[in-house]
Amino acid sequence: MFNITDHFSRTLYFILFQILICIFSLRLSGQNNYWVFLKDKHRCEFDPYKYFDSKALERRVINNIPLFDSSDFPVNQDYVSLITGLVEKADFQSRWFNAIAVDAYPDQICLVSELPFVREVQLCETSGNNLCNVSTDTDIFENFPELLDEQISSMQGEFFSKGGITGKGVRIAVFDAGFPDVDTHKAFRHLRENGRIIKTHDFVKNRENVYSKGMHGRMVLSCITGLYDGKKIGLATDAEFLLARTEHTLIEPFSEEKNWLAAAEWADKNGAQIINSSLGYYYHRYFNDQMNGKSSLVARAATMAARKGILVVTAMGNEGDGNWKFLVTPADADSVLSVGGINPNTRHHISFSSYGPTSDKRMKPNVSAFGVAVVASSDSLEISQGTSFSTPLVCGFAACVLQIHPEYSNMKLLEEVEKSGTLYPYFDYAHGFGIPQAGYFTGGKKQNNDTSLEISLSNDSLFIKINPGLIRTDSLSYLYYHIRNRQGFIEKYAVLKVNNENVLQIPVDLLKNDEVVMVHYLGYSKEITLKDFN
Amino acid sequence: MKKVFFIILLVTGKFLITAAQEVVLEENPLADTVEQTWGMNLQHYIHTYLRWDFMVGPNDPGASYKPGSSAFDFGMRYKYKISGFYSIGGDFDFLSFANYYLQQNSLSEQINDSVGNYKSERLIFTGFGLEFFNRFNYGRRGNSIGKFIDIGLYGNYSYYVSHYISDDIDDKPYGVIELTQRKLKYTERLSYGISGRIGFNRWVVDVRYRLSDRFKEYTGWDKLPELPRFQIGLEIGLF
Repeated sequence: MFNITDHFSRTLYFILFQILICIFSLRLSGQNNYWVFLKDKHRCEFDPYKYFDSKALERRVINNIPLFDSSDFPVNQDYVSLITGLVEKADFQSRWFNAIAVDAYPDQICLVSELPFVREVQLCETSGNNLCNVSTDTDIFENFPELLDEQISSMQGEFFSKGGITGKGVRIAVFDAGFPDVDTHKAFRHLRENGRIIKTHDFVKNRENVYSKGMHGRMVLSCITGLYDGKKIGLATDAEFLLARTEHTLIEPFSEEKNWLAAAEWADKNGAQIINSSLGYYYHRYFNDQMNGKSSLVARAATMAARKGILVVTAMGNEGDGNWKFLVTPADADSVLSVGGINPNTRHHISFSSYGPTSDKRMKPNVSAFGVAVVASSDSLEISQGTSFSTPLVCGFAACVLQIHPEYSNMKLLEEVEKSGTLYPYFDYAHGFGIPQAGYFTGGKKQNNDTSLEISLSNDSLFIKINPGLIRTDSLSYLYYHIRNRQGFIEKYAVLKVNNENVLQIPVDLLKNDEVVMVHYLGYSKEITLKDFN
Repeated sequence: MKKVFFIILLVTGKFLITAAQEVVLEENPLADTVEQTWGMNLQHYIHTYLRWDFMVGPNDPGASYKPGSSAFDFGMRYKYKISGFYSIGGDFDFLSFANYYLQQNSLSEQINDSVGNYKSERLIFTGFGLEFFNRFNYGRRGNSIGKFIDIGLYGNYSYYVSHYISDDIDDKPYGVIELTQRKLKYTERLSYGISGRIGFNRWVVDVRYRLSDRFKEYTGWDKLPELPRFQIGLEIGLF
């Protein structure tokens, strides 16, 4: 057996060794990124006509936003100087949140937090892979040209094309991990030749060049505006672009959400009307119950961008078949257009697309689009999948709507895109209002709440029956239904493939008097409560 | 109770009866919104892991070992979160495997019947193990493991201990001789010690110090010099 004295000393050494490692690692990790929020903007001068691009001013007028808004004033530079002297490095200054991002050790940040003009200090730290695409997999849809046609025609893009609607004059900011080959690829030649890439900025490296790093941005951009051998990949082929690199590619250190905020303020200043963000943050940084549009900085930034009149189009995320399952932030923000994924083969929810609602039970996604799409590869085209690509398809669609209705505020635009959805007024937490339809804006789509659905009450059950003449034998005729409570929260929803007229039977003793049963079939929606039979 | 019953009905699909229709999607948000307690940074979490440590000393004089002496473990870990900063947990190593490549010196001479200069000589301990640990997390994180430091106590029971010798033979009709001795009467089956880990999500640096001896008294033998007590290596969480 062991010698107790000898082992006691060795154990002591071991514990000392552990403590040294702890101290070392804590010290290493001690330098962190913090947000320092300030109390006021005293003595800050601001001239909106000098600061904003003319398009930004125009957007403010359309959205009834005052030109002199304190959230647009610069951060007080006296405060910045004082804080800079106390920390390792002062980084981005946010006008919107009146805050400075700093690198500091805990003892330094303690001093900063005691300054009289500092309102709050928050740690911003974490890691995770945030691009909302999943690996390229052509198995799910093998017919390449057909998919390219379908990703446009599923939104009735031909109605826009026939009307010469191409998003002309609409300025879109795209936030991503880099845009390699966009400066050479022929799918973007029309942008280069017509000078439609207005500005670029790499917020990771703080430089102008964004034409390197993550290919994700190239693929996303192609789904908004790509034009390859005369074929449209996205709908907004004549839109203008602001390209911002906000994401690291392989590792995700501490700064992406800060970069997102910086890029949003930059996009606002430079007149963006729409932001496309095929990015999302989830379990590395947050819990499901924090997906409430208020907890994450990026959701608050997206909400702020919406308050500035920008339509933020963002991806729901690809966690539908993972442990996380639900949406990622900033798709949880209240005033953003969150986009889910549709399987091109089945035309309903694609398994990986994250589900709603938000943790505070608001409806998400708002709409959906193909979750498998043809995108620009390094030198030609390829198929990729993810809500990363559903998002830019809808973004291009929204740009076309804005060209038709330049008078639309961002929230009006959001509402109208929702109303154009294939399922509207029906909605659920997998599809939102369905795929937006161009016909709604060009007169090609007709909503018809016809008598195709018959709902009756007998034998203590609610029976839902389809008009036999409307039963389609093709594989894409689905009946959607949900049951929602008085607060508007959907307690259950499902999609059924219809094989005969008697679709659904709901025992009434399991339905509360004020619960709504809503049903949708082939463009027809009906809703009913038990009270309707009383 | 009524609510639980309602949720069960929803989940099991008894709520709605569909006639000859194919359900292609069915979701029950009411059941989904029940508070979760299992997750990486929730109250309970279980995952498996692989660990590969190398023996790094100190060893008694005469018990020199060769590089490559290592320990391999495969096990399952349970973590119970007490606060954002502090958790406790336990490991069960299904397979705990320690392998000492011995130098040809006094230990080797003593445990062999004859003095030889073998090409390869190993002491192999195969068994299972238990560990209890305290986990101190630091840094902000979501539902992920994050950065942590563990300090704990471990114990291993070796149900199979063997002494293996291999040597080249020149003057026999065979070229190699291998010998495995089992049921060794001079080794302890039980070992225990203290452990420490520093990790970030699934990537972990593991340090262990063995308090117990590998060898016990054996009649007629001098006390055997002790094998290295420290081991350091990498662990990968499988999640």
